[in-house]
Amino acid sequence: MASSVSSSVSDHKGVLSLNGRFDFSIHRDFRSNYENILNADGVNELEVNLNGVDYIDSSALGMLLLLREKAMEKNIQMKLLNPKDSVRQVLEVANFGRLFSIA
Amino acid sequence: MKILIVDDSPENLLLLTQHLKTLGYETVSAKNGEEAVAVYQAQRPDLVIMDVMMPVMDGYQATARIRHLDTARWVPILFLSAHTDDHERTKGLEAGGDDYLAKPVNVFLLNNKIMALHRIADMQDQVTHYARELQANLEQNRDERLLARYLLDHIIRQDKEEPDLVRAWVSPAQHFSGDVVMTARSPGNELNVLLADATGHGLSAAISVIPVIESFYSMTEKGFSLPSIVRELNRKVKHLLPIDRFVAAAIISIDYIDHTIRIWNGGAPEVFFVTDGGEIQRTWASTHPALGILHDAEFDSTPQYFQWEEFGSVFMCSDGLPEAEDSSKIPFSMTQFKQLLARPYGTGRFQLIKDSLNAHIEGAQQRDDISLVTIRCGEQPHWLPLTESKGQSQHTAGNIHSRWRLNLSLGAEELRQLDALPLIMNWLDQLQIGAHHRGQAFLVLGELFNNALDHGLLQLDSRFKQDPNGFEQYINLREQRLAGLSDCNVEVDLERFHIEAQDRLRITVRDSGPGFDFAGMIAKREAKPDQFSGRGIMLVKQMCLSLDYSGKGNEATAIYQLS
Repeated sequence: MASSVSSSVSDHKGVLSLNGRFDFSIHRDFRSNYENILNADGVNELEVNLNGVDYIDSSALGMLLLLREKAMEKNIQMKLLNPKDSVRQVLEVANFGRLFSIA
Repeated sequence: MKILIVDDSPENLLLLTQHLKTLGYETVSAKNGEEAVAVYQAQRPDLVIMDVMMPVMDGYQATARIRHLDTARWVPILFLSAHTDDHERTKGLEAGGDDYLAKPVNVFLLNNKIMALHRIADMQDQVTHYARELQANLEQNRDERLLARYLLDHIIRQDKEEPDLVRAWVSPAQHFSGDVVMTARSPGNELNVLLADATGHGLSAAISVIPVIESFYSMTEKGFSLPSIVRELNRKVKHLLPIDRFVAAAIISIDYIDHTIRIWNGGAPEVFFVTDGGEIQRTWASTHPALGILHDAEFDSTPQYFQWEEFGSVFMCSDGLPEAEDSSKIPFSMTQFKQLLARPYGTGRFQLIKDSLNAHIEGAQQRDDISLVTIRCGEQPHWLPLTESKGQSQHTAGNIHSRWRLNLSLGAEELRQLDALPLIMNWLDQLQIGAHHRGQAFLVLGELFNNALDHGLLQLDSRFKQDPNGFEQYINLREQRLAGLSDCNVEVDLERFHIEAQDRLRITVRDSGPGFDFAGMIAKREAKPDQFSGRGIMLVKQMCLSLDYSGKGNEATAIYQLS
């Protein structure tokens, strides 16, 4: 399945939705989409929707860490939402529960 | 743009030259093929308009010559000819021409052809430019890769490998591996094994793992404990790598005297202890984020513990192994890995896993580095100083006339904060007691120091350790009590002295605790020599000329023979 990234901002909340394989190949799209959200006025919440992701690798984890850092700089609360079981397992092995709120 | 016009008719030459000049082109001319080749070389035009029928050398021959001369650059050549049949056109294209225009020249058509050819020439120039750049990059890249390869091949210390105890297989996805497996022995004869997996794969991952390699070796060599090593590795990676890069790692420290395993797993897949019978007895999941993610203040270096009763083996892998996909994208999976592991010792499990994995990924693209490690937890390795008889050593320890005394007192705060043993060992190294004695002296000192702290001050009951589940309880209790420690000290006194021409080291460790029934302990030990607790003390007794307790049992003195 082709990977895709999309973003939307409504009010104070930005949503970053990811689909397909989440790895380094989507880093450009990933960045331009999160920049849309971080640069929007008044955003204080960022949801990363992982619902459509069926594979995640370590460089993707790195991309999430980078985003976390940028969100923290702007005092934006970041959440990871709806990972599939296979993705949730990877997040657990990485102990990302300590770094992110995952729901 | 410069256009070369070749025609044997002066009228035609003049006509074309004037026409092209009014269109803004620069022109040069030649009267026949031979002259055309010479002018071409001298003037380097961007386009050639070539008559076919000419004296001396015709247009086809001249074109073939030009093409032969100039292979680096493509310059469009447009033929002009009164013959317009297909045969003539083909001949022109075969000679290396690019287009054909019938005489008499239709000026409008000529303009369009020049523009079209010019566009193609521009694109061609760009392609050539990129190709050259690419070639240069490739060559530079190859040089850099060779250097990196050399560096990485030499940074892993093969002389430190323990082939009898540790088997490792690393299969990189590209030329370079971001997975590394390292082994090193501490001066206290613990075996440390590190499996590190840097973000991504290829050269960037391989570079990211370098700081880990260096620190792992040097900290192990100096005798730092597992938590201190892990903390330093985290600090290094955090400091050196950008935010989105980190190193997942499982680090194991094995004590073959106590049969204990300490493990810190940050972001690596589960690590298993499999008994020789083939039962997966213990699983250590990742309990920490990978190295280089958390700041030092947030970082938790607490390891997990295990004490084996039945011989067995530790198995660990990088995430590339369970995630390795076959040609229809089905991962190898942890389940399959565990099934292959759960077999008795000596049934070729390591090879079996390797073979199964290779069969699985055959025909598929390997996306990530794959590594597999097994560590034997069985008989005491040959390098443990058990069989060494006391005082028979032929090794000399520096200058035999040297004598010194070192006295150190550590209070509650230092006992909590400092990794004291490497510190003391560092002094001993400066005082040159020699490589051979270093390990043994470290072991003796370590044993006495830990006893003074654990039993003397923290009042921990070593009977805990006889129960396999008690070990963790012991460690937890130890941490609790250490945190609450106040108004106490451990004193270490080291003295090198000579008696009857013999060179000796006196190691005295004194604690401010209430003391213990040392006579009873030693008697019990001698009655039941195979129990876990007190085994270290028995080893100290074997390695030293003497070991005596004095005071209330809170002062231990060991005499070690240096030559």
